[in-house]
Amino acid sequence: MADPVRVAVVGSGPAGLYAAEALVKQTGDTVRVDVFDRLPTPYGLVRYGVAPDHKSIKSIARYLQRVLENPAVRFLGCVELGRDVSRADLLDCYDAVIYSTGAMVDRQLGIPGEDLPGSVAATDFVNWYCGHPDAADHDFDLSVEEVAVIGVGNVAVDVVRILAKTVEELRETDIPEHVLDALSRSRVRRVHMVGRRGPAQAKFTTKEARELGELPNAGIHVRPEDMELDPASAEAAENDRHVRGNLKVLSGWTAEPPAGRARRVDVRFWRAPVEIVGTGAVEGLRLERTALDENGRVTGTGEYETLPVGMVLRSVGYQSVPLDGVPFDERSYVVPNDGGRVLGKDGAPVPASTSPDGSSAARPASSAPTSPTPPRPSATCWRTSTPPASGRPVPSRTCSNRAACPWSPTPTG
Amino acid sequence: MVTYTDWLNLDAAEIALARSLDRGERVKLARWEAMRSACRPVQTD
Repeated sequence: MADPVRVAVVGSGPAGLYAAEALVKQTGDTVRVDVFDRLPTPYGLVRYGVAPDHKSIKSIARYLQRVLENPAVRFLGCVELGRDVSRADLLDCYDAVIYSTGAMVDRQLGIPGEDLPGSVAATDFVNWYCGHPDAADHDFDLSVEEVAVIGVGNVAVDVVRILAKTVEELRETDIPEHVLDALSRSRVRRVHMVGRRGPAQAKFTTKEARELGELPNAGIHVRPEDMELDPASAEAAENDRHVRGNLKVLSGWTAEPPAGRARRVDVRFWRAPVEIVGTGAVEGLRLERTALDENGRVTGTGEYETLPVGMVLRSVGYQSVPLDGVPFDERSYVVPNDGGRVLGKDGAPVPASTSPDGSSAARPASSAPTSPTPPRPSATCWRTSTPPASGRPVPSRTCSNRAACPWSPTPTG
Repeated sequence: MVTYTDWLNLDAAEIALARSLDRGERVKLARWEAMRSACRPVQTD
């Protein structure tokens, strides 16, 4: 039998493993896939991004496990691109490389005070409560009584929910013991979730919003005046099921929540953060009331207020970071690509090359897949100038350095 | 380097930890050292 085609997948999150699965399904016994991860654990965002109390979404790991158990696929953990292995090493030993390292850092707000202690990237907080080893020793000051979460996407909702739940509600989750212990000592009583635009533009899913409103120990409130819709939003509410669903849930939160709840969540729309204030640490979040101008763009109204919060969690989107030796567009934070095939600075496909999958090639997405529907890899790039037709192998290049590869590439059999 | 078998050891250690703490199906190990140790547990007869 001819040598199988060897493919390296960098990143063992859902996109990387679905890419590995697609390769095996398409080419049968003619491919060997090595899935690298810098962590000792596979599943990426499913393990370190999905909230610990979302067990049904986390069950995707069981599906992904089947990919890793395929004899044609190997997991190689604790191997980091740029530290343990270079791009040149991979290109020397594999016929194709797929990058699926995801969007790993928060976008910045670009406002004064963002670097104050107590101003925190939501991803750091998420990594901490999800047990990411890089965040294990992070120390969040949960002795404060009020917290602001900037952003109205699903990650923001996750963060709000974790802060609003009691430790008894989290005890049955997989939250690391030291995190549960820290959360048990939390004095947070009020969480403000802040969005620059209106309720019709909220990015969270209706399911996530509904869940937030059903917390037994937290009351939730949105100001009735924040629910007023401009004509474009009213039209969106008519035509878009997602918007309609969100507005229905949000409308149910305009009454003052029942007294006696341990915690309270205030959802604030039409508020843009303009400054994180404090001397030595976060003492407040200054917001400007916003409105839409005649072109439908958000603009400040000159009306300000300051929330007396001791911590600000920023959740306004995510971006990829450059990978060692891999082309990267610093303006759009993606691996430049044409249909997934990596492009060099001259805009031409990088030879003998690499392929970003749906995560780093596409604009970063902030949410994990919520169903086992695989994110389709945007492309696979091969050493040869033309990708192989489905089910047909391409000739494998002889690796000049295979014996020296520290990760011992799959024997050809 | 951590293999799939090593990961399964870590996986089993997290499940065992949850049982010992009477906490659901799994409690994650979050520190590098604990994770590395769980990947290659010392065999005891």
